[in-house]
Amino acid sequence: MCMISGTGIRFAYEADGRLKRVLRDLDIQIQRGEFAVVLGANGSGKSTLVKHFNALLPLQKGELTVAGINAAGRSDIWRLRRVCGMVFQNPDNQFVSSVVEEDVAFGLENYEVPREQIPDRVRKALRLVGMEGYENRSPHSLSGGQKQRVALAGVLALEPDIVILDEVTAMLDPQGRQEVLESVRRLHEQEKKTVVMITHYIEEAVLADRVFLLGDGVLQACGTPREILTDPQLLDKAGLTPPLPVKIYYDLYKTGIRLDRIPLTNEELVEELCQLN
Amino acid sequence: MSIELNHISCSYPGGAQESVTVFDDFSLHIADGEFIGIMGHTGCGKTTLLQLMAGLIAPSGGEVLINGEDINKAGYDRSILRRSVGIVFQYPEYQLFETTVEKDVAFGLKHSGLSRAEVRERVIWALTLMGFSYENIRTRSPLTLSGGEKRRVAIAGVLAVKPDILMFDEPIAGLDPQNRTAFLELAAQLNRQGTTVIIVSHNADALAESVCRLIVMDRGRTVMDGTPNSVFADPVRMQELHLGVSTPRAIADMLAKRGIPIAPDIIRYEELLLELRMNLKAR
Amino acid sequence: MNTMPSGQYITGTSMLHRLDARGKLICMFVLLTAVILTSTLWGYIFIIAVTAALMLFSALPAAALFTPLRRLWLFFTVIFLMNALFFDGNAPLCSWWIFHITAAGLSQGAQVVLRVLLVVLLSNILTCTTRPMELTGALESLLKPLKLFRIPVEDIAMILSVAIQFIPTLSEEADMIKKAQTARGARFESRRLTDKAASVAPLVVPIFLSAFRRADELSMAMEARGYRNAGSRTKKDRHALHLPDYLALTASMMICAASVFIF
Repeated sequence: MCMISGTGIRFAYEADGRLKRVLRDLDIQIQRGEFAVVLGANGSGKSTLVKHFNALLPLQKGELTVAGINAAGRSDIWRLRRVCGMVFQNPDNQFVSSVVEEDVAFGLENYEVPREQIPDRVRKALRLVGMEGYENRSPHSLSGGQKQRVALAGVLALEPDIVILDEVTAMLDPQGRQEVLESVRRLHEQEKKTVVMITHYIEEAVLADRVFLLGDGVLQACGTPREILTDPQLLDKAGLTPPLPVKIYYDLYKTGIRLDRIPLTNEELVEELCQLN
Repeated sequence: MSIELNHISCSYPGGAQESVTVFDDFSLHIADGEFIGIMGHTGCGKTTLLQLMAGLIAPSGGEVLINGEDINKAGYDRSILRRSVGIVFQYPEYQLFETTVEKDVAFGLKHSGLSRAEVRERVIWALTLMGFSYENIRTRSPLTLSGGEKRRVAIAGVLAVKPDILMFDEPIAGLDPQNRTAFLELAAQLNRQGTTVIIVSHNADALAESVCRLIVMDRGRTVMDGTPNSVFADPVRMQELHLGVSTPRAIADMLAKRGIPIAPDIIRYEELLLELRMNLKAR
Repeated sequence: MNTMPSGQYITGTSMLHRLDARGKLICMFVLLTAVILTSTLWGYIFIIAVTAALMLFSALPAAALFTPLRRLWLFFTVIFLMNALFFDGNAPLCSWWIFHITAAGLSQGAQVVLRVLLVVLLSNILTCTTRPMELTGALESLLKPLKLFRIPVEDIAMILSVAIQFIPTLSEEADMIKKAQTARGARFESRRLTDKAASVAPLVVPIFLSAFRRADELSMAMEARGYRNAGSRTKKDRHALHLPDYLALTASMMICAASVFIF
């Protein structure tokens, strides 16, 4: 079943007297329960695209249905944002309180969830991201990875069907990235949420069920990570480079050494190389 | 130009807590023309170190010598320091403020004593180096540029001064692969022309491919210092410090564990590829 | 870096932490009134003693309360000198050119500095012992009468509390921008007036831009989390005030009266 279905999405704005076309009649279909990674270079329009999913940007042209709700209809906007939560790139610019617990409760209060249910749901959300025990800390005193997990908890507290992650790891150090990716993976596997993750880190796309490759404001390709990430020409056209194991495969191929299949991860590469021996 | 830090101690007031000691008897010597990478877990003192070397903060003890001169001594001419040390902070795009790109890039040359024509020449040089066409971009407002363009303009503003020492704090965070490669090539090019380049980064792959000397810091101390090959030769130690080694190094390690004979000092992509070819051809 | 920002809520279980935010807010206003109205030496000593006692009761680290004061030293010096040097009074202790230092002037300067000091300390005690959202709620309910005049009380309270939230982030960023521009040759340290004037734009423009950018991102994040207007949110628990709250209120009224009328 289709969780997100968009056709002919167009977005443009004017700057310096010129019309900038960010999305050019883009079509996209994301299934229920899917872990979708939207991949693209800086400026490919990926952030703009997902901001349409929860109606943070109004639809200029085209059609978009998210969880059965028409995203163009302004009357359903709040219902839409409740089922479609979003975490942003900069961990410092999404906190409303200097106490973790109060911040996670913010969304619940906005939807007038009865006061007596709030503490339980806050605790549950913090447990999901492994941040229980930090209820009374100030977000300011946490590491980047912890901040993003708290922000994720703030979204999860509302029990949305879809979670959108807008380059949430871009500003983190490697350890923070690992923490956040681990939480996201658990969210998808255990909580069965539909996850839409935007990134330009090609290694993060390996985790996806399906990869949506964006370039020049249109969907260049979509398919399993294996289909997309093992195609250097396709990635190059979108301004990206393939993962290192894929590069090694092709560079070995050029010198006449053939591995049985194209490896996506370091582990797969090592496996293939060992089999050759 | 050389940099010498001798027995530095440094702490900063910690708000509600006691003051935090970053350095206690810290020493580091950097020779003229070196290409250095600095790695360390967040909060290890990397950024403080850069600020000490750029004379933006003063140590509470010890001395910072640039070209043999103590930059914190009374009577030292700070304008020499500003001309010889350039620093590009993390997210440098946030420091743009002028109405046009040209003015912003020229900002650092205000007190340089250069003539108008010379200033213009420098601006053209710096913008071209950063991949811009001077004529197309000079009158545009920095605010209307894309994120990546803003960052390149900001870096051009630092380059225009032609500093002898260039420091970058997390320059490639948030850049896509093509911009990442372009930046690393630029840094290498500047270093070949004689500039001392210091890059602070979490990106082990990028550092492995570019720098000649790698310094690993932990809680205000240097814990490893040597060629990237020698530093990444100890993946276990790097893991303990919550840091990774370069991907080629990690793959080589996994292969070695599976009993495949492989040279122990591989850290770069080309090295790994060459080794695999030799290894696989031999069979 | 990860240092605790001053003036922000610090977790605790002290007596002051447990009091109702509305009560605390009123108590603070009453005590501030006392600070402003008192004018005798004994009155000041009394209020200083009360403030010291509150600091003890709050069980907060002293640094949390005093650090903000450190940033104000220049302000205090200027205020003191202005009062001490220009106060018109009889019988100057010494005179030079247009300056007359009088006993009254010195005392006036000291009083103004002391008052500001006490105001900062007391408001710090309040914000360090009260969670931001509770403070928002308290402000909201105390300002409720203004709703009669169609003033969006809830939104104002929310804006205030979120703005306070951003002070540490913005001040860190201002520090970074200042360093970055210094490295590019801006002359903040120079004493020449022309240099000073020229270094305003490189500092102020980026800080403003950054504040706008952050505000923009934050408002988007708030909208994404379902914030429409503060009126349609889960209502705060409105317990009646308890005995300790009433005791605190009574005590602060008595303190105020004592400092004004007795001393």
